[in-house]
Amino acid sequence: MRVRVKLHGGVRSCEMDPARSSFGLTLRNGGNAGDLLHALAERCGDPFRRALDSTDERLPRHLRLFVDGEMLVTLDQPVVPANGSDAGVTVVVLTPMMGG
Amino acid sequence: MMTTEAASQVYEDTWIPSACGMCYNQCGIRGHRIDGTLVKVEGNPDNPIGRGRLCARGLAGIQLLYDPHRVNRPLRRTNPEKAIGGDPGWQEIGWDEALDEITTRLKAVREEDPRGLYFAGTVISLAPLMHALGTFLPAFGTPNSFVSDGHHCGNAEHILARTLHASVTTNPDVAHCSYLLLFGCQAGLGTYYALTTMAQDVADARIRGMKVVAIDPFLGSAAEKADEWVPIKPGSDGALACAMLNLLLNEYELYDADYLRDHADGPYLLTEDGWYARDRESGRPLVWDANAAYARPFDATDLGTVALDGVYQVDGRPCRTVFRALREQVAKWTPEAAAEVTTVSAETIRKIAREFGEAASIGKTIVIDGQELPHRAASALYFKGAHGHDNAWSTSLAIELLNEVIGASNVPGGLLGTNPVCFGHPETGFPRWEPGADVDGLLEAGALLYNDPHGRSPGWPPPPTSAELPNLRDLVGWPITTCFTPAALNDHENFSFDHRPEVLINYGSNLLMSAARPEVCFEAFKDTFVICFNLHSDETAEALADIVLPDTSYLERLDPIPNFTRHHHPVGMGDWGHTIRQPMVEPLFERRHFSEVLLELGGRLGITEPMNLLTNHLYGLVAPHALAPDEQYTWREIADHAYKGWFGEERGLDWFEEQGVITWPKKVEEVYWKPFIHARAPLYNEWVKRSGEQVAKIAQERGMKGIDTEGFVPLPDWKPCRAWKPRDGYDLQAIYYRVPWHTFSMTYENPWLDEISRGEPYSYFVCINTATAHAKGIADGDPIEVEGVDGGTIRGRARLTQGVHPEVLAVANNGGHWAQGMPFARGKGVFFNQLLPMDLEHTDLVSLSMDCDARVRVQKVPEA
Ligand code: SF4
Repeated sequence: MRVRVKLHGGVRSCEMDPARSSFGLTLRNGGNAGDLLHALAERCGDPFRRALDSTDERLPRHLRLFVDGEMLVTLDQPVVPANGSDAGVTVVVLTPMMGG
Repeated sequence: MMTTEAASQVYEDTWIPSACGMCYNQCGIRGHRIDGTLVKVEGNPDNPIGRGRLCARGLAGIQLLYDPHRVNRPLRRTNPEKAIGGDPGWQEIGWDEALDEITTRLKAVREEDPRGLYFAGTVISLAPLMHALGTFLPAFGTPNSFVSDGHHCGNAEHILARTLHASVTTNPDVAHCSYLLLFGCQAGLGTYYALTTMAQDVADARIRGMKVVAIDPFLGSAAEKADEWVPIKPGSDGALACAMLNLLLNEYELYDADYLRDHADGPYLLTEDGWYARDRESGRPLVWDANAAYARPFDATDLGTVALDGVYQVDGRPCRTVFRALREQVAKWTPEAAAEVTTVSAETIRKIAREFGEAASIGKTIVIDGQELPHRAASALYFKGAHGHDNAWSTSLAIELLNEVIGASNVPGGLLGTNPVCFGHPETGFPRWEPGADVDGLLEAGALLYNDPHGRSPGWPPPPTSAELPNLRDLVGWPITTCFTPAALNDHENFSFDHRPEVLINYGSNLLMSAARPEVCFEAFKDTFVICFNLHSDETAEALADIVLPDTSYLERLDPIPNFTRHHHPVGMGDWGHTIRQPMVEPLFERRHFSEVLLELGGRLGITEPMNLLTNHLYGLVAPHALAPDEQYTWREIADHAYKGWFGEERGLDWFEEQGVITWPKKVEEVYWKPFIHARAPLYNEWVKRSGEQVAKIAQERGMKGIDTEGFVPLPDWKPCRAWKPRDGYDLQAIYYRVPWHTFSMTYENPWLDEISRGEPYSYFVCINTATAHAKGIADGDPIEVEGVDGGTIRGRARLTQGVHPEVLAVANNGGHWAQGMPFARGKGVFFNQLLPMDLEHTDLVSLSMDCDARVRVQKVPEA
């Protein structure tokens, strides 16, 4: 299933073509935040790759993923619903500030 | 022309509830407005923050509103030569012109490299600061933010408040305390968190019989009211605390074994190389099961009696418990050894340690609201006087552990985190936050600044990864604030950043006066396009700003949830109180609210969507109260969403404008949460040891010099700070102290507060011990010059007093303004920070605390 990804903040430069405001990624039906991170790490490298090094089941502090406006907290939260309808994914990377 | 009768007609006479903003404490206030003019500000008795009390600054706030020297319209520099003390040649311009130019510059920076935007702020304007840090800057894409008053911030205290109390800071539970030990701190007696509420609570406790001992080189606001003043050499508080730990643990045996075993990592086993001994399969820390006589994971379900003290064989190697390691670590700190360092007599050290340990009433319980809880009636609190040195981490740890060993941590009578547990409003369950345990069973902080709707924020701060950010967030990411950025920008030898500051937004901070000697910040930003959003044309604006934007004061602006979010609530039982800051009068002249301007800039820059998402995150907003990503909201609409998200559809902005504050009673399980939440306090800081190794590795790989990781110690010890030791004829230590009627440097422009300073004999002088002065031929009132061994010279008049340690000079904080735009403040008091360099050498790398004292010599000089 295709999801549209918008990158903002500190990861904006990861977008290959700065002229485009978003790009598409394919995730499996029922794909979760962990799957999305893998796909982003493949396409953009750091800081998504660094996030995958974590052994924590929660998303790292410096990365915030919003799906249809709702923030994801754990890696196993779904990004693409099991029924396969498209999700609008906005990825915002927080800056490391105020105690990380 | 108005007739006399018409002139005396009152068309409006109203009281408006709001929140004070003269310091970070956000006390509840109400303002009396008559015919559009604010005539009085007083405390709001309905608000649990302050409970109707205001300090002198709060009462004097009205002078800030009508100050004729405020910046009222945007200003543009016409003199291209930037200089400290120079004349910028201000020219008034319109908002459109100012914002057009700022937008053009920010667009260019964002296109080229968003990290070219730098931001400096002040904690005094906390809610707008958080809005900028939490939404605008990350949405723009820059990590380059810093807080200029980070030099005077809690630093190490905030780290330990987090690891031991799941909070940003702490306060003692004086309602149940009999013995309060203050290390370089003035809680309830001078300046500190929840000042006005604490002042009443401490007064009540003292009537009840609570003893206060103030350990301080200067007889300041706390020491002068204390039962006992213990003058100490600055920077040596850690040695005193280590000696007290030694006495409590090794001589008097006054410690809470049950607490240390069950609520701290006291029984965790340590390998010889200083790591937790861990279970091979699960990786969990091991403890010694005395019944089974072997080491088992701390969370094994059928553990027998767990050993707190001792050395045990694990896989054929000796492993000490953390508790044993702590006892051994502090054993060298005999009272006599500490007396040499601190100048406090061994006898006094013994007395204080015994009084503190006995006051704790270890083993006793108390019933509060039907719950039986441990009652530990002693508390040790510390702040900048103790940890404003380059040995900050270790000093702070030693003092904190005084509370831990007697079990006085988040139980009645002890040291309480500032409200780390909240179950939310009874009708909505918001706002909610609570800490939990990590996989090692250790306390993991709950939401600190962002509000996770689930009440938790993820994980520990990230480990050191690099040294590419001037604020060092990637090298040492755990301190809340720092002002190190300018020093890093200037240190070309160590830090070769691949971007430079193109634009600096400086919100409310007076960098040149707040963060060490002014040359440091001037040098870092003199080639940067600087926008100052401020109340006055201050020293920073006049030296550096290209454009000055007129800010609203706290009496002219709306801040939803200004006490962001719980850190300014008083600790202990009582009520929660979530409040509003609202305009008492519409903004005068062309002043504008910083947050509103950021919203407009966000729209102009095309970053509204991420700003809205991050606003939801900041306030923990979920549907139906979350902001829609694509909509452009006004500040009032955002406030409405925030209030409704927390307190229900019927309690939006209108409700808060009318009512001012919402209250509900705290629960015992929220206030004294330690017995209820199973998360151990880490006495042993394995994470600091690990971080030290990572920082050293990064420094070595990058060829950085001056990165001293010796201070990354898991247990407390003491080493001298740079100013502690006499050098080359520089025989004194200069310190600054805080007076309770000033906040950083801004309030010096307030005529009522100036009047207090003028009527008070010390704060506009340099205080020197009478005997020391006589030995140097200095008389009271003589003009003197104080010269720092690390550079910097200040001048002032001597005030001879026995209320200062004989080896110390004491100066009140942040006087000595020189800006043309602050005529009331100009030339009043002494500018202490001129003596303070800002560099790695004077910085505790664990906490990014900087030496706030200086090794100096003093001489009498001729009258100017
Ligand atoms: S303590 Fe701070 S917030 Fe409270 S009245 Fe004083 S200045 Fe205002």
